[in-house]
Amino acid sequence: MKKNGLLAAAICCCCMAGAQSTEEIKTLFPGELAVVKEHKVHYTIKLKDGIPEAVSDEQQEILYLSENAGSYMSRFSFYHSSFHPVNRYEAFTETPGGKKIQVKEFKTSQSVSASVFYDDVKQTSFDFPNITPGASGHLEINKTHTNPRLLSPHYFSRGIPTLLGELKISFPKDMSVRYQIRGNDREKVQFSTETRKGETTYTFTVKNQAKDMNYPDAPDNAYYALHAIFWIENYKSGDQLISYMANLEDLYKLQWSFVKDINKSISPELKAITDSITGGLTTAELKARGIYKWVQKNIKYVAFEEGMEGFIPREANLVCNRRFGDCKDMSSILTVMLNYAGVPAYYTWIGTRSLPYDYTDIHLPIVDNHMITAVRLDTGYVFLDGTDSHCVFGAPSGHIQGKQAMIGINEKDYKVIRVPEYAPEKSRLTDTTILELTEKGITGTVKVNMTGYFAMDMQRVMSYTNDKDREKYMKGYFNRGSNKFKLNKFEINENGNPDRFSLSGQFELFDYSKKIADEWYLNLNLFKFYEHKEIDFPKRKTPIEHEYKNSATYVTILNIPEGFKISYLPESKSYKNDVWGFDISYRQEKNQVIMTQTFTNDHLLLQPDKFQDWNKVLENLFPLYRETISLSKN
Amino acid sequence: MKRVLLSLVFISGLTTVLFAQEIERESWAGQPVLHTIDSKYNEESAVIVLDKRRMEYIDVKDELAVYKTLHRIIHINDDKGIESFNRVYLPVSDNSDIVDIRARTILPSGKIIEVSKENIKDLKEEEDVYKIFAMEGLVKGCEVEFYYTYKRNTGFFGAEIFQGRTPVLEARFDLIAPDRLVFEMRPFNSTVKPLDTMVGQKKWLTIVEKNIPGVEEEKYSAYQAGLKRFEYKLAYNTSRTTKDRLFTWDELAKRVYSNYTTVTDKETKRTNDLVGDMKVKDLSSEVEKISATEHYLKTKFTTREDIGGEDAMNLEKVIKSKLASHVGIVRLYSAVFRQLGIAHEFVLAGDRNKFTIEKNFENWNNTDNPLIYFPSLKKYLAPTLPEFRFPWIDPNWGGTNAFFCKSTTIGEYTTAFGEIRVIPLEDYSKSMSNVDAEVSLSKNLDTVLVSISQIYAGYSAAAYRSIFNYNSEENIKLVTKEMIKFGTNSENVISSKVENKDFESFNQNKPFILSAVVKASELMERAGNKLIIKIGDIIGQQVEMYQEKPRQFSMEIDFPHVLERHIRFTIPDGYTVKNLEDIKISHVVTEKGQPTVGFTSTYVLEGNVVKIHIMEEYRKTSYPLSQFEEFKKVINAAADFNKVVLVLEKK
Repeated sequence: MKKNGLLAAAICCCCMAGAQSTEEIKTLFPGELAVVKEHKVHYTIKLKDGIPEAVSDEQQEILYLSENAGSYMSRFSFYHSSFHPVNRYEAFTETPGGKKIQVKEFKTSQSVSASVFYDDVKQTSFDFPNITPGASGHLEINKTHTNPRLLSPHYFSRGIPTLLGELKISFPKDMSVRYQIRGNDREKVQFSTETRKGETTYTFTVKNQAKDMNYPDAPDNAYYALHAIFWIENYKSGDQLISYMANLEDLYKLQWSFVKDINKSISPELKAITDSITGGLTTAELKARGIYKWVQKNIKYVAFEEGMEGFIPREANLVCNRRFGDCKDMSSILTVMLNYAGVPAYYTWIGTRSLPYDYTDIHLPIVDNHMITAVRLDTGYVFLDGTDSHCVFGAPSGHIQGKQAMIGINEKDYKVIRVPEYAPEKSRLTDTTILELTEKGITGTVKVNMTGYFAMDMQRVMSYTNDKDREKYMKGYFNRGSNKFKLNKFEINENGNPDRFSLSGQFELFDYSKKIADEWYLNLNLFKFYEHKEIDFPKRKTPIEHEYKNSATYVTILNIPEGFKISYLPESKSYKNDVWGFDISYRQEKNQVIMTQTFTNDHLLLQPDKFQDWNKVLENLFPLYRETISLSKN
Repeated sequence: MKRVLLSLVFISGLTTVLFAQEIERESWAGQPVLHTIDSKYNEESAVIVLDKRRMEYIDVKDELAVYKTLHRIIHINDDKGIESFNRVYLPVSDNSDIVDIRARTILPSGKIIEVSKENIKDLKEEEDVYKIFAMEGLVKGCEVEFYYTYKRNTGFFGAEIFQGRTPVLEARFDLIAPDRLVFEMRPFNSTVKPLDTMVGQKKWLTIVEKNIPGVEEEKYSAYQAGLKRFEYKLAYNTSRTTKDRLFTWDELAKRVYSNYTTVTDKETKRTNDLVGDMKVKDLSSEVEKISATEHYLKTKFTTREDIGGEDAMNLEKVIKSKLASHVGIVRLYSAVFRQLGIAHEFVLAGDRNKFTIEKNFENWNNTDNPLIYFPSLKKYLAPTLPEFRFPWIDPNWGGTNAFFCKSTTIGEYTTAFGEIRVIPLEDYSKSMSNVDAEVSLSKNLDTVLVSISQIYAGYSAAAYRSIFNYNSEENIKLVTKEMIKFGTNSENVISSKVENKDFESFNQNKPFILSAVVKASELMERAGNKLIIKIGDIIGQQVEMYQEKPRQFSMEIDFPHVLERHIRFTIPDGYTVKNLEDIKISHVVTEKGQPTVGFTSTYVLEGNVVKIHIMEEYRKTSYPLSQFEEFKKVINAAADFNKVVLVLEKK
């Protein structure tokens, strides 16, 4: 019984320490290389000169589990910026024996992103010394949040599991702070509140939170990762109750403050450009079309976002001279040009599809990350996104579909309107391949017609490739059957309509069809787009994002060679459920076999409750991918 | 060897002449006009009209300073050109003094827009510092022009690459120095010779090359190594009393030796303690000791080039923090091996993909990659690469010249001298990506059953071992699935198993093996009652060169290797295969009667089992341009095999 006694003592020890041993953690999260043992952030909001200011104390402890941790897991970093300056920080390693080794070298550099050319976000990096399995890295950071309106949501999950996550928010008791919990596993958040000595503290605790799974086709983690959004609703200054971010009006007041002082005058050059575009045009719509096109073509996207530059659009006159700008600058120049031309146009804020929030749910700056221009025509509002150089007038730019827009009418008035989603029948692709069987193999032609986002995407590709790159691109675009596809010739049939695009090409495809004795074998499924596209159901809990709704038809026509007849023709089949479906049909018309496949996607975001039905369609589809036709001698 | 040695680079001996010299200042045309570009460049998005660079060494007080100038004019043809050149990043030194920096756009209308100083921002990204700005007013047909001069950290070596994707109409490189300093300049992939002139007290070395074509990357090529570039080095200082050549390989050897082996008593003591903890002393053979040391250090220590500071070189500190710079980790290995009495030499390797180390042109900057060489074993260890294990090193560091630091001890005194020679790669037969597969049909003939082993050894195994050791279980599952899918086109894995994923197996070159049993319905198609088995999919999709543009570069591969596959296909009862001969594909290139690169697939039919054997081999790393057509046929032979299907008919 000695053994058991020891075990009991060990368990008891653990209980007393109130912590799990490394071995227990390994059992809890098998196969993980590291876990966040503890992540605690405590925000303290106080009034400074009558205005709220927040300070945060953050502590995290990373426990290393991998045997190889020492060789590659020491690197760690954190971020800060002019709105969230870091006051002090400290990091150390705690060895399994309990010894502390301080980090001495920290390096701070600018954090460079692909989309923003220049901003003031900084990254401080360092290495935890002496990392071994069972060692833990501790980091403590104290930051000031100069403008608590810009507080970021707190995430309880990340790429590795978190054993204990805690968010505390302390604030004066006559201040009102609200919160919302978002993402999966909301029920895991335990909330408590207490008020002591004139200060209220909210505590949110999450235990044993699994890691976020990374799927390349998932939307931004704000859609599914567990997080808390919190904000100051109002506070007392003297006897006065000040509304801070209590409602949409408060948010609008903030937004308007960014634009109220800009564009007080319009330069002769910008006037001249606008006049030259709109001269002779009689309707507001035609003028708006012309101005939008000019901005799309002439103003290139380059983003400088240092400090308040991240919020205040630049003067339209400057944007015009420089011929570049970020989204706010494009909104600025569009709005000024349109208004000058007599078309009612407004600065408009919007969150792109990478943010899941609606203004009507949350009235904080985190709801949006983008600016556009809304134009009021007789038919209603049209949304113009200057950053999308190939968006067709009237269509929403792809990344704002379905999102609420906040249209700034004037200092007092604004409207919140939802940008429509573009219906699948508006983005159509029809791809027709005609195949000829020759002794050497297949030769053929392809014709592709596109509308909507298919066409806009293609126009974009065309404008950013030169003739040299285009050949390479087209070889990939036309490719079908196998990688022995050889594109001999292609033609782009431009008709001046940005909402249409068509292409044609001639190719050879050897070793795809098989001729044995007097029989030909050939699989007309030249594309198997959905092969291996089953969703990892039920494990996957994160939605799937599709760029746009669409409908695609692929037609394959085989000319039956002289002296041959069809000896096997696969059956036609269609399968549809509430989520999606397909039609595949085979038919013979004179000396041709015509196979048609149609797929429609009516989802921008496919939620996990639809995954099973999605997979069901694939189950029905896959056997059809393996159907080959055969031709034999007459 | 950049980071270590430059901090120690001496100026002594470069006795300076103390009278005021002005550096050359760059300027641009007061009234710029757009350049007329030949219509042969119409298909290019942009053309670099001028790429002018200048490196000036100048005496400033008692210091030799270096100023670098870059001046470019770019003619923009289309939107892609605008997008490629509207954002400018100019590298500068950390504590740089900017002498001049100006940028402007010249519009077709004749209007000129200069970028104002406040719009030129500083960017610090990791170790690198840049001046960045966006060019204003760009339209098609405009020209972008900028120049800047900044004070650089003093270095006596360099390389300027003048070729890239965009064609260059005129490239010019000037190296200016006080007349006592004799620089040598060497062109690579170019026949242009440097021109020597004296202007006052300054000696100019000038290279001008016109009409440098833009080049694209090609499959199986060492792109950077093939680009036109000019390297330079300081060779003599005529004001010294001795007329010896400067910065020789022997001198590098002395410094390297001293850097890596000079340790304090405390460092030695801590190393002794570490060696005790490692428990390697009693291992019987040298190879075992080396392997165990390497495994210990590579599991417990982190080394990266960006781990800096004195602490990262000091063994006492390194042993405590387990964090080492690249120099620090080599010092540690060496100290441990000295403790263990294992004879070793320091090697600084180049990189076949980027440049070559030349015996007669000592560009120290090209000795980038540290290795430890064991003369008695004639094998190497790569201390900075955790994913490789003795004797396996990054293959791009071998198969090319490297710098060897050989030491000799005479009495108490140890000195070192340098030698340039090739690091031979391990024999082609030891690196393999082999497949062994049993393929049969299920009883009711509705699916294909595959039992497959993917076998990787040598250089080919390095990537897989990294993945399987440095990832969470979850990611490993995903990778396993992808690997199996590659050879079966199926995700329907019944079981799978991994063998010898541990790094210790690497030392002995035990193959890393992934075996799986798979139901691969994707491998079978039906045409009525005929069955089509996609047997070629077992080798996975292969790189193809079916539609190639005229070839520019010679063919280079990462390392010599073989891909040998055994596939046994059981023909179901009652069926016959009509097209077995399709399996036979062969294309082999030979030199002096020996195959150098080839693909051969054959079969024998034994009873109802088709036994397919495929031997694909690449015995060399480099193949001359003259062999391109032959080389292409080998690549395409493998890609063709991937398309082989067997048609099964009822008897």
